[in-house]
Amino acid sequence: MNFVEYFDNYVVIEGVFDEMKCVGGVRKHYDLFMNAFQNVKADEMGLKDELAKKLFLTQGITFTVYSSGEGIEKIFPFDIYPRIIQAMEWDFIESGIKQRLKALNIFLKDVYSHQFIIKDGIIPASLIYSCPNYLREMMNVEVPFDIYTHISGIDLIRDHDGSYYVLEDNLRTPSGVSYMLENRSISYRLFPNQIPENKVRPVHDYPDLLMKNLLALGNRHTSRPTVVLLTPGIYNSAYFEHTTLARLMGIELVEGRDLVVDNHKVYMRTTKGLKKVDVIYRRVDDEFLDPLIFRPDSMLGVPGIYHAYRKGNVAIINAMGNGVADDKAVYAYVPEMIRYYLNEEPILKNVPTYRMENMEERTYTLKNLNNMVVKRTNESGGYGMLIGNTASEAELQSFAEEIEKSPRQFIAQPIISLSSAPCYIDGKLQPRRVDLRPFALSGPDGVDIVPGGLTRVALKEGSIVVNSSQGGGSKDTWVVD
Amino acid sequence: MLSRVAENIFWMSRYMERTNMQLRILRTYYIASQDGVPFVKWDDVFRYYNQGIPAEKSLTANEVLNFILFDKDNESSVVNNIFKARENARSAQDHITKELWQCLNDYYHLIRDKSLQRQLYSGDPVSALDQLVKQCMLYYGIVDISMFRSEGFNYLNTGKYLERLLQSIDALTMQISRTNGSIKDSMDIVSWRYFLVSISGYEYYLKSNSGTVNPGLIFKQVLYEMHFPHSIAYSIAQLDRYAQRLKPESLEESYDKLEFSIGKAAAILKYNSPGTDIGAQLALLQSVESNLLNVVQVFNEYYFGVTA
Repeated sequence: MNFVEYFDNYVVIEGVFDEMKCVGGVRKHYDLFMNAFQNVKADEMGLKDELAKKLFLTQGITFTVYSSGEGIEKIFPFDIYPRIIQAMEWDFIESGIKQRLKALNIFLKDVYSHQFIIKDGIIPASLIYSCPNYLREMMNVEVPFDIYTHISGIDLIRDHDGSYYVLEDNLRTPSGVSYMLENRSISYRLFPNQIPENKVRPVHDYPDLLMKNLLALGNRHTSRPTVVLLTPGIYNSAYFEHTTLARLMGIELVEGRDLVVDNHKVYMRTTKGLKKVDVIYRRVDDEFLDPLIFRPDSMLGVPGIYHAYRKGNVAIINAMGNGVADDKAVYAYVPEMIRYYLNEEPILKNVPTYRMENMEERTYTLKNLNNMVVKRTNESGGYGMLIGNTASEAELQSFAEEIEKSPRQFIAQPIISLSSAPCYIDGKLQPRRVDLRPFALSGPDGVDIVPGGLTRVALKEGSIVVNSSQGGGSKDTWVVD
Repeated sequence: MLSRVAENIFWMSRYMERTNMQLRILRTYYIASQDGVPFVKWDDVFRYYNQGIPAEKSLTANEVLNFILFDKDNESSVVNNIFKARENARSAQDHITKELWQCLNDYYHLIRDKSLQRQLYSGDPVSALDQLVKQCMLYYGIVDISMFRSEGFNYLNTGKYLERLLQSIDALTMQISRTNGSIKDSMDIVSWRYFLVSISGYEYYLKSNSGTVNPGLIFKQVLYEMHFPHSIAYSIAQLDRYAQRLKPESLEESYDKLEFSIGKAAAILKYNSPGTDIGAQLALLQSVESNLLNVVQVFNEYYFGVTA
């Protein structure tokens, strides 16, 4: 079988927008890539797939899944066939994300200071104060350059008509950027010459941009700031990413036990004694960051770090308390935030969201549970979710009861079909559902978004859950001019 | 450098050096057993690698090798050494090169490969051991070619030479005890010969001593020969060399302690001449070993922040 036959045998899912194939054939931005593979034989595709798996294993590109209290290292499944996005579409996404982040950042500044948005009745106070990730400790804390969301990952999906929706904002410690970088380095090897020939926009600037922002935050105190990346340790599911970023930026990868606070200043324990730390890119969640303020049983954080931060002696990235802005119930208000703070219409749409604390919306949801996705407002990674059309009666019943019991903890959304993209599975090209997580970096000089981001794929047939912990994988994302 | 990372690199290196020496000793031992020499006792080997606990039943060479190489329940098995080396490398990934990390990662996948275990069990164990030794050599090559000569490299080398010293002393002590430090029959000659092979010193010995196997000369080579990379004197000199490079990155007190402890071990070696008396030989080895353990203690206390 050659590639033409692969393509001919590729059947799109009915009612689903396919990234590559439309009624008239192949979409224009896939043309060049497709033409290069006219004569590729079936076994060559198989060999490329094998090579990709081998490269991932050799390079230790893994994530950790927790099962029965034990961490199991797994290769992050990778599909060799890239997802291609045309530049014009990307420009639209980019401007939409920039607008959204601008509003979210102002929201965080506002909600932790004057709270105009609450006073003006745009967002109910009860919604904010009942959010478990709203940190009263962050009230009136001076945040460097008023930037809260230094690193964000915005999850986008496409509905059946191809229009983009924001599914989630990840403003705390979004992960996946290392897979974006590794996917590209694997693509170079799988498809020689294709990246320059397709004029794919590069992603390799990401570590430099991130480092530039981190250094800019430290420059308030010293001309040569010490920047570190704080990891929960080798058993964290994103540890590979932590090491990759630390290595690419040439900064120390520290654990909580490597840091100590003295006189409201943070130091790391080195072989030459204590060394002052100016900027911490932390990948430890808020609740574990300082056992003196948050969870007292946390072994991952650093006692006293909160006060060092509050005094302005150390910059922590992302800021603490961002969880209030990416809470799934607050998400429903982001379009209103954009209108309120920026006086603009949102460029990127939200998925329609039903707020369970609203009685009418709750009643509607419970009546139509079969056609809804129900999510817990404070969970991520695809956990704590119900997909109505595939759930059993018992699961529907149990979720309905839980929603009635604590409505604030849930939101519901209609089931969005998610676009599909071709994946090489079992020797055939098959459509699988995808989303897109572009990564944005906000610094004193503005917002930078690396073109592309991470395309996550639901590798199981029929599934719309793309999370790696739930059987998802990823593919390289090419933005082509 | 972070104290934790320094410790991780130090231990990664120790586990790899231990693996290399273990593999070479096992390889030589297995070949000797195929050569039909009577001093090879697999039950003793099992007991040695099982913290002194004998096997419940008599075991074949392949069973013992399987236990030492692949048994995850055996604390000192090679698979566990490699696992620990890799875990330490993971924690220090930002201070070692990507190539080095990938080499250890490959090693981890190699030793977990079922076909290698099958080869050991029902094929040719020497080929299986050769594959593992080759991966060790790859590790050393990558360290040499790719590792930047910074603090991490110095911890890597201090760990390597400390482990080599402890392993060499252990191997020599066992050999002296086994043969009483002498040659009573032709089998003792074979035994000393295999001992030299296991520590990669046979060819050098032949060149230096015109083929005569003499335990006194072997003892001298293993202790004092500066051209022999597994000798105690050579390894202490290398340990001292890399420790000195740590000076600019050390607190004054820490370095003083380190310099003193290494100097003391070197002085004991240098200013003792036990001759052919086995008791004196063993006492000297023991004294050097205990001083080297002090060096480890100094690293723990003053560099890695480990409290006893």
